[in-house]
Amino acid sequence: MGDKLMRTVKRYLRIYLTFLRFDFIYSMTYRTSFLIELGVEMFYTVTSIVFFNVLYGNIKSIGGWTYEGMILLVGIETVYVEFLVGAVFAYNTNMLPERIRMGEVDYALLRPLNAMFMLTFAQPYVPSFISMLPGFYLIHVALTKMHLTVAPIALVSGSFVFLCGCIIGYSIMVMVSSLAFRFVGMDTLPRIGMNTTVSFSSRPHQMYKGLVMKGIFFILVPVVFTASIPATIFMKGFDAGYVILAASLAAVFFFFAHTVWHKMIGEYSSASS
Amino acid sequence: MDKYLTLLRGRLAAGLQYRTNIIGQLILDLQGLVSVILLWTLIFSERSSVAGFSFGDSLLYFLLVPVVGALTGVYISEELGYEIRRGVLSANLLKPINIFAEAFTRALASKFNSLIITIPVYTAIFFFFIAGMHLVAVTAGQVLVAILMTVSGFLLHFTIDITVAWLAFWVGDVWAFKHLKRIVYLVFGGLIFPLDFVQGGARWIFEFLPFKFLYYVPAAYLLGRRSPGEFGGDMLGITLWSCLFLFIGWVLWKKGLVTYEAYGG
Repeated sequence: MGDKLMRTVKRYLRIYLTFLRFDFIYSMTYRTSFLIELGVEMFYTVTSIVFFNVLYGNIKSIGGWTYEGMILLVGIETVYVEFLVGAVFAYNTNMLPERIRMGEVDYALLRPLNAMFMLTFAQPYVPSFISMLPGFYLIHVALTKMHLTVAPIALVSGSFVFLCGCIIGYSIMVMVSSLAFRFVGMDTLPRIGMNTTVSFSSRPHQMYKGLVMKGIFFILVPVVFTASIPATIFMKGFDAGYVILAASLAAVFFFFAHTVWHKMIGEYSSASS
Repeated sequence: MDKYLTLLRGRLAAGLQYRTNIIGQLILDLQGLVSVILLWTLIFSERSSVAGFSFGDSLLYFLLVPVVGALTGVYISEELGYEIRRGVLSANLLKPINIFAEAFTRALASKFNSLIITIPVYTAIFFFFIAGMHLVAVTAGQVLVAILMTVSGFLLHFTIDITVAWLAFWVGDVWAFKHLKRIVYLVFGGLIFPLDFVQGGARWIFEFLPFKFLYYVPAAYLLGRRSPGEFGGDMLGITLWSCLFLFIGWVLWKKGLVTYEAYGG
């Protein structure tokens, strides 16, 4: 059982690397477009930095987060957003409503691969992968300015929570985007899925106060695990409660994403093919 | 004039077919608004004012910005760029119409269609939040000035957007420019922070550029952050910038038509 699972994971990883290689070659064919796209992605990170620079020019801290702490948060958020945009959103879930309308989903269904994998991962967007680098740089700058050496257990657990945050973000995007199978023509659905996580990922989790807010942003739409909680673990150390909650939510959300996707794809009628 | 009214009616009818996307766009805007309100609630839980803004001022500003944006926003460059790239523009070139006027009917129709859905929602949210808050009294003069600046902002946004659209004669896709435009508006338009927060020499750059007219200036007049004495200078500024972008757009259009190959049309 475990051996079979490992073989499947390795197979899909190998296939994904092939997708990534072909997309990189394709991107290099149109270098000007590639450079412009790269510039756009980087400018979004600059916008976040400008925002917090202007804000911290007027105040000293937000919910206990100093400027350096916030830069760490922006760095992790940049890595998260660029990863999701590059791997899942730009050419995959974002294009799903059009593919459904044009009857192009058939091609994915005919392949000897998982349809959810094919329609949410098959076309990576290379500029976003490269734009993760400024995020890592910001993390480095923030930790250096804070004179902070992250303990190995905090590094591992923080990275694990971040990975869980990515799975949660991916699952939310898949669930919302797959509604396009039922609501044909509603092109904004993938962006709603993306924004549901992105709009809140660069915010400190202290802004969710009270039982209702905590219930929403720690359980129902647990975006706090994408950047804020990993940043907190890096700064303050290992927290078993957060690690267990993040892992449980990632498993539950992925299960629901899988279920909703299969329910929704059953609505596909291949209308235009 | 009749032919443009006919075009406008056609565009209005066509636009309403995509009302689910208008609702989707509204959901996207509301997600952003919720995130902003929560962040500023946290910021003001620890202090009473930031750069002279109280919590009420900030809340009012961030509630006004999307309303102003819904009125001044013009997003036709992607559609026009696509038509140039696919040669669809050829059909319009054969018609006895002014392309700029035709593009204006698109902007106007898309505005009316989105306002039908967005304005009632924003109005409800606006009154829900400001009910019971002790805000500065808004005079009729402030409202009138804000309306004039908003209408002028819409015209300026149209000239900027059409300039971006004609770039499609030379670049394969204006997609990236659409995003660059968005980034510029986020920072220099006052979408993510009121320009009053910018200190020192940098403030001069924000004041010089035209993007403040699209979001910040109309909201600032309503909030009393800009005095009526500044109205003349602002109107002159917005008119000059609109004329400049219209001229650049016209030059790009003339030069672009020479390079246009009607490929795919």
